[in-house]
Amino acid sequence: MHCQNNLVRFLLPLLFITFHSAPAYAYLDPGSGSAIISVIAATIASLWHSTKSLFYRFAGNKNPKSCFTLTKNSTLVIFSEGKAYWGTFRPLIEELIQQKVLFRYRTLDVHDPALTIESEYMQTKRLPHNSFGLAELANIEAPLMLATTPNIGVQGYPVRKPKKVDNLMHVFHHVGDITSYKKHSLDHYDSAILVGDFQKKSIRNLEKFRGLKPKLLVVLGLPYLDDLYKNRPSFELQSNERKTILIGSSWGKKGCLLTYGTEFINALVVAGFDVIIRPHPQSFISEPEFIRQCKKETEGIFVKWDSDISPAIAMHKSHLLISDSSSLRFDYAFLYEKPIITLEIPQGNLTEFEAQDLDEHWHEMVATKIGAVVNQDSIKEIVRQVHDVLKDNKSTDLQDFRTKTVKNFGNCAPHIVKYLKSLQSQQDA
Amino acid sequence: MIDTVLQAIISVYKNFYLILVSAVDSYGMAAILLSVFMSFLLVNPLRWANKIMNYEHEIQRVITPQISKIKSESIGAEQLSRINALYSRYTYHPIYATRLVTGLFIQLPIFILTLVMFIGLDDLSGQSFIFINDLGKSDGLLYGNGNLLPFLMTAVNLAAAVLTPNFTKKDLKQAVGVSLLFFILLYNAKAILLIYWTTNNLILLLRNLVRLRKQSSHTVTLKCFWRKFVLLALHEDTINFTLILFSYAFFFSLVLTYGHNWKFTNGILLALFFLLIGITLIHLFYYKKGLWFKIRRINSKIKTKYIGVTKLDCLLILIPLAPVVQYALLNHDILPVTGQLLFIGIFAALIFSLAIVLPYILQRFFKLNGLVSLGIALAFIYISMPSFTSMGAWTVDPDISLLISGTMIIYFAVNFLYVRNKTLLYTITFLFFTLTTASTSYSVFISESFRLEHQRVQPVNMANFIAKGSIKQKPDIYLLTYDAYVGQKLLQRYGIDNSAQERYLTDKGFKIYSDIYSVGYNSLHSMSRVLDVNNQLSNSRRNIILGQSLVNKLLKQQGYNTSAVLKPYFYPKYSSDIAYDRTFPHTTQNSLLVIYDLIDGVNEGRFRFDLDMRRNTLPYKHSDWIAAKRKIFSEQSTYPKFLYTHTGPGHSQNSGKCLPNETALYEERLGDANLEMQEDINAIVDSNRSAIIIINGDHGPYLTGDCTGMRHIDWRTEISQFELQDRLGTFLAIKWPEKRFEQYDNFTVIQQVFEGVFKYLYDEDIVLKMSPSTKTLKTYKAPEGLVNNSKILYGKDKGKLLFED
Repeated sequence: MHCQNNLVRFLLPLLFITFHSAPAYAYLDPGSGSAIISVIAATIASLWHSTKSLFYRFAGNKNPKSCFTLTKNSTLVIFSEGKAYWGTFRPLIEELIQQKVLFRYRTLDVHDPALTIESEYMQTKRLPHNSFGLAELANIEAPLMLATTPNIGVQGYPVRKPKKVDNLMHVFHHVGDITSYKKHSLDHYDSAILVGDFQKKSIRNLEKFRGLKPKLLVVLGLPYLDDLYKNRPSFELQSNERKTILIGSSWGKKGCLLTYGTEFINALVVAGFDVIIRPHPQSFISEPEFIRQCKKETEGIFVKWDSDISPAIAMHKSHLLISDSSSLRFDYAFLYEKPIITLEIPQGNLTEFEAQDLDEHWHEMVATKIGAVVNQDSIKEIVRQVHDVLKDNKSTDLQDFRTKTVKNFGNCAPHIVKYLKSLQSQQDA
Repeated sequence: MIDTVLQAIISVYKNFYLILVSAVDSYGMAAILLSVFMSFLLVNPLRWANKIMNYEHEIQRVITPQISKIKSESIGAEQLSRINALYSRYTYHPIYATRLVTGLFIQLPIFILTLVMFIGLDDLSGQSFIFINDLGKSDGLLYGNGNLLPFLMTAVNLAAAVLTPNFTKKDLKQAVGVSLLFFILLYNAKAILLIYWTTNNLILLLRNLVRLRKQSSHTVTLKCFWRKFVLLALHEDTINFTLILFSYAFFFSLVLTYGHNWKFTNGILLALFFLLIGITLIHLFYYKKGLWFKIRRINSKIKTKYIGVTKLDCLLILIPLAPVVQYALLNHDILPVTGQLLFIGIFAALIFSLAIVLPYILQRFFKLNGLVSLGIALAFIYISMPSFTSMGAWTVDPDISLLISGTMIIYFAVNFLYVRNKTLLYTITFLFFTLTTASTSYSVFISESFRLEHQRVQPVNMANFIAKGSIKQKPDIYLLTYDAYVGQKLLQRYGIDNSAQERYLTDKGFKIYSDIYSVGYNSLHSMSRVLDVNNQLSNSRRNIILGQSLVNKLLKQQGYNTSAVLKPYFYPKYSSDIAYDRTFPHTTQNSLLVIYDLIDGVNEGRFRFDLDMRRNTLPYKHSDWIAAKRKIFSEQSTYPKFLYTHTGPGHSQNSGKCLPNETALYEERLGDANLEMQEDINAIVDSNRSAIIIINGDHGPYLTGDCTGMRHIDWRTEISQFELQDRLGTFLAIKWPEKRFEQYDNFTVIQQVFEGVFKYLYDEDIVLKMSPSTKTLKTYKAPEGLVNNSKILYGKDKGKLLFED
């Protein structure tokens, strides 16, 4: 009787392999196993992609001619650390593309939404966040580089000032002077686009104090604020007996969570408020353990943690903001015209910041213009303070304050692009 | 140079392991320590690799949806240009996906080193550890030769996969697939390797658990899995499905009364029994907890889409039908087309009932999915059992755990496609059936060796025979072949004493020829050359045995009445191929016999050479078969008679593994054959007619090595003298009518016997142009001329004589 096993070839080949006692050189980690499958798929895809590229090259179907072939090094460069600054650059990018201005965009973040833009006027590149990527950035050649990252070029800071960039220009991503920036934040910048005239004083004072060459300062507005303004949520809030308090905390020592703890939050919950806690995005990176601890301490159905890229929804949903020296307060005041309570941060906590080298701190001076101020002594009274501030909301005062503080509110991008174009023309001339 | 370095590394690693062994005085514990040590050694490199892998995962998560979007929006050059631009923006190339295996590249050298070290470590043989008897072999701890460690390893692997932080559903599916693949690959590996890897993955599992504890709750957690498991265990469908499967198994246990399929069925019943107890306990536990009704309510709200049996589902029976068609095709030389169709038809009807009709009926009563897939999986495993048995070399018991796992894998694979993508399942089924059938058809009908093997009637080539005229004396000639019968000299090596039988033969006037071997390794090869008196055959082996041979033709020309009393195995599908005057059993019954044999083989779960000997369903009794040849012996005819008959003791079973009592069983069969032989001889002697009685074996009893073809060794270098004797050794004793034979009986191989007979009959020194060669034949393992002129030319004992002491 024949029982020859031709089945082996096609029937259950895997099952049958079992019967061969020869050992198999196999790796058993299920994670790697799944990776192998992905790699096989990727290798096939890669080969297919290369074959197609070759085919189209020989078939004469070349890629559309890039606008950058001749003008690469003479165009403006925008440098972004990542998606957290998308709000600052989006209005500018949209305006540049609309006005058909050639520019380059460099980012260190794979999640940067700018990378998804397909435009012939914008040459985008993600640089790896390692020494190779940073070295490439340091070697970039351009007449002008626009950045919102403070401390570029400062010793110990990973991002160096590119030597072949003629003009390193700062664009702000918050309402406030530079007191909240880390020390030497703009020392290596050549110029800055200011939100309003109020910022000039702190910059000039530091230049004098440190003997720096004066920067070119141009007051044009705050693209970040415009972006938030344009993209304000429009949905109707559900009528709810419970009012919502937004807690906006800075990161590190100047954060209200670190200074005041979470007790006051629980007190608000007990008093019948819903709470949204929005730490600075950097907190999730620099102090994850602390955030985890805070989440544990505030666990409950009336507390929500917000880590959305934009604070817009949280700001829209809330009725009052409690924050520290965070510039979120001004966003809240200027965009939503809702009341704010500022939690005072002791001076000792600001040693790492420009504030230490400055006698006046703009945000402290104007804190009372946007709401009440609470300190370590009065924090126990936070519930009463909240009730008072909610009762005494003055939105017209806030509108006046905004007009005086922010230039070109709601529409600064065309002004900035116009200015950038004028610089380009001067250079060409 | 490289080889020396590698050897040095392996040696250092091995010494390190042996130091651990001497420290803990246990090979198994040392393997666990080695695994732990290597795992900790790789912690930092793997952390770095993990970062790279996560980074790659992150990029892919961002890029993949964008590529899909581009592909949906554009084609051709535009699509390629946009994708290239995308890669350029992200500073990416698809080949970067190879970064996903960075960890593997770090670990692979260590794993290979460990493998090579353990494979080469002979000290492991016979070393026990906890409940494992031999670390150098697969553990064999489960019922029916099954291995426990592969299950343990897979369970740990699956747990590690489930608990890998940030694993997506897709990752999880792939990991489960890979775990199952490795289960299959390593099922028969040395126990020590499985201990090493299981420990390694256990450490991974613990690391994952620690990592998971640190992460927020959005990842897959044990709690979530347990909840799903409880919901499933308490679901009405689960109970119904288990009970239906239990009924199927119970029915099979009544129908299949012996063999591997019966044992497999009992294994299923046992597993289901424990499963039902488990389900009952879960029900009781949740009932006592007061959650039973709540869970049942949740289950009743889960809406399951029931898939009814459709006409197209009939296509699926092609999956289990593929091996049936293969069996039919492989036996086409003894089974005519009508017989093949009948055989396929019987199984098609059975499969159709199990996989289509039963589910169709049951679905009327229970709204239940998966019954079609269950029928297909069960039918496939049951029908393929002879193949599994042969491949797994299962002698006494099949590996029940492996069979149950295999059934589950097939069931889940078929059911997954049945629910998700029926069209794909139909396509795969069709391709599977077509490819297996085409492949078998190729080997059967097209390949050269099969064409030669199965050619129809050819004229017998008489060119080699040069003796002229007619025979003066015409004694009866009896060729009494006793399958696998060997001489006392060889039997002594097995510890069997058959000297009494040889004395009996000598007393009866037989001359016993010692040290005779066969050039062929099996009956068809050996006896076809005996009957054609030539190593170059003039026809197919089977046709020669059936009378299209030089011996039969010549004797018929000389007025002999020729007969054959053989087993159905030797008979062809067409009676016209038979060239003897008489045969038993009658060939008209043969197709049916072959179908019986095949069905019995599938039923038992293995094809055996002696199937027809044991079966009660034969249309004749064994005593009829004996009576048929004895009738010819005693017949007082006017014409001379030639009879070829082929009977026991027979060689060992052909599973590929010796039974523990293989030699004892052979000795028992040898005793039966001796009795039959004595009665045969007495019947011939009692007829008082002049006769040449040839008593021969056709090949060895196959009692050494793997008891079959020594598949796992290189015959050119490794086969020993004893193993060759065991396969090629034969027996030859002839009772000549008068002394004149002595000048003609110089035999070396069994194939020369009829040359001597014809020399005697013609009384001439030369009757053939060319004597049958003493050179052994080529097989898929043995080279041609492995033994020539009694001298061994290959293997361990090259240069020795085959029967040298």
